[in-house]
Amino acid sequence: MDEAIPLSGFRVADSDHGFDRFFDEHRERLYRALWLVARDRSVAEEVTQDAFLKVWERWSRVRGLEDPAGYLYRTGLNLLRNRRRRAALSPRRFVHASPPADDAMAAVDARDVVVRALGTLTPRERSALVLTDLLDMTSEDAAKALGVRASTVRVLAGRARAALRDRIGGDDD
Amino acid sequence: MTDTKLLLERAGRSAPDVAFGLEEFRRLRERRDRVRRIRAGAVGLTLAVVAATVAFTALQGGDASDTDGQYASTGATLPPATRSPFVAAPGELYYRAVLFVRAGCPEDLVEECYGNEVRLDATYWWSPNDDSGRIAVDDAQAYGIEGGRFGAGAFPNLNGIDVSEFPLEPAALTEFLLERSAEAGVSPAPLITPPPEGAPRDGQLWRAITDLLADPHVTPTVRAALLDVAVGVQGTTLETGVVDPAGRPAHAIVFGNWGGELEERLYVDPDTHELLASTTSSPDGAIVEIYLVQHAGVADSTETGPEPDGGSVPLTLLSTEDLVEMLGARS
Repeated sequence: MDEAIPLSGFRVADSDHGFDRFFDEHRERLYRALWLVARDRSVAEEVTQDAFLKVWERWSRVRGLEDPAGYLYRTGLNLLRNRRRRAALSPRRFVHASPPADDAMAAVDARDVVVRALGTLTPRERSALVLTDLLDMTSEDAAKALGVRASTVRVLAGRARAALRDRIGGDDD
Repeated sequence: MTDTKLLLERAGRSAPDVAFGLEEFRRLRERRDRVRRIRAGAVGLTLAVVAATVAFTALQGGDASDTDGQYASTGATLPPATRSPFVAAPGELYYRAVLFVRAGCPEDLVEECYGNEVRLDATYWWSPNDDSGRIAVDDAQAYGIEGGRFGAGAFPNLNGIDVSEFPLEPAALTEFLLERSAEAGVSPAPLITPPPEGAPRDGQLWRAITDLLADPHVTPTVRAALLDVAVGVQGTTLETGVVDPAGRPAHAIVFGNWGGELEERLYVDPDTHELLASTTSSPDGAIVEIYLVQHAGVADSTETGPEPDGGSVPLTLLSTEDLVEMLGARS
């Protein structure tokens, strides 16, 4: 769920200060993190855009936060989680969305042992691992993004690290 | 830097290049900004022009078409309803008791639905007066839902809709849905592959409609309007005189998603044009999911429901277990 930062109007002229630079600095990193979790380019792109839109709408407040980037990443992972939840809510969408494989990801899988190993994790394990180990979030912050307890994040991330080590260690690539 | 962090950074570099930059994002947010201003009524003139355009389109032949001409209604309509849709009076709540089941995912698709069979048995009370209400969840498995009581303005709104905005006239509603579900719209609908008779916009419109039909914020009046639009989507067929999975008399609006291989059926109450149920069948014809409205109508409080024979759909006492037994059958 979104953090409780109220909308502060919708005036572009008032809310652009520093946003473009923030966008440039974090676009790739957020997209890649989401891509690792979602394993789908179009989903990662859409969620990246939506996360930036949400931040932009609240920019006058977000830029005053101690860690605006952390807010962005939590928002992105939150949106991805909601999207997955909505996929469960809307199974017709699931039925459509599932059969076509993401060919780009399949190609990457074949050449990148780490990506392939990540693909063996559950979405929640991937999310916990990416938030804590790639984006350097605390378990508490990651827990807010994932809607679980911090202890659960630690368990998921620990399990993911172990699985990653096993998969990579056992792979000849 | 940890080993895992290095591994993940390396893995992240395998991602395809991101296809949008600041300019594309600016265009997107400007569009969102425009949509919001329109929604807020700040550009009344624009609304008037849109309304005039819609009226003109309707006068030209009654078909709804988007600006590039990719969408046109077939003109098909449901046989007329015999009763008006239920409308909650001040202080009343819309009531819907629903069941949903979906077969467990095939092993190669567990990523998308956690590999579980999905089940839901829930009852919604929603107040259109202040967006408060209650969701009672009797059974939920692998289904994202938050039960509880919700104060004014706090009722979960996953589709982000304000039903008071929805036009009811089919051509105007079609335009509204196409705008809303467009790639840069308020609620982009994923592209789905319509049957051979349809175009991409037909698939987009179908999905926009089906996403909304089960939303507790959608009133019976709007739902009936959505179904009126659905029956005109290219690639749909209308079957009259059928029964829904609970054996209730129904019309069925049938759409072949995934190029016609997946069959989606919307069962409509002939009397009220309320949604009774929907099913999706896999390419081999087996039902893989069922959504069923057990009962619906208006209620006085979040503790009660309509009288058994006083709802907008006939009451059925089927359970999720009953629906699970229907999975795999031919629709």
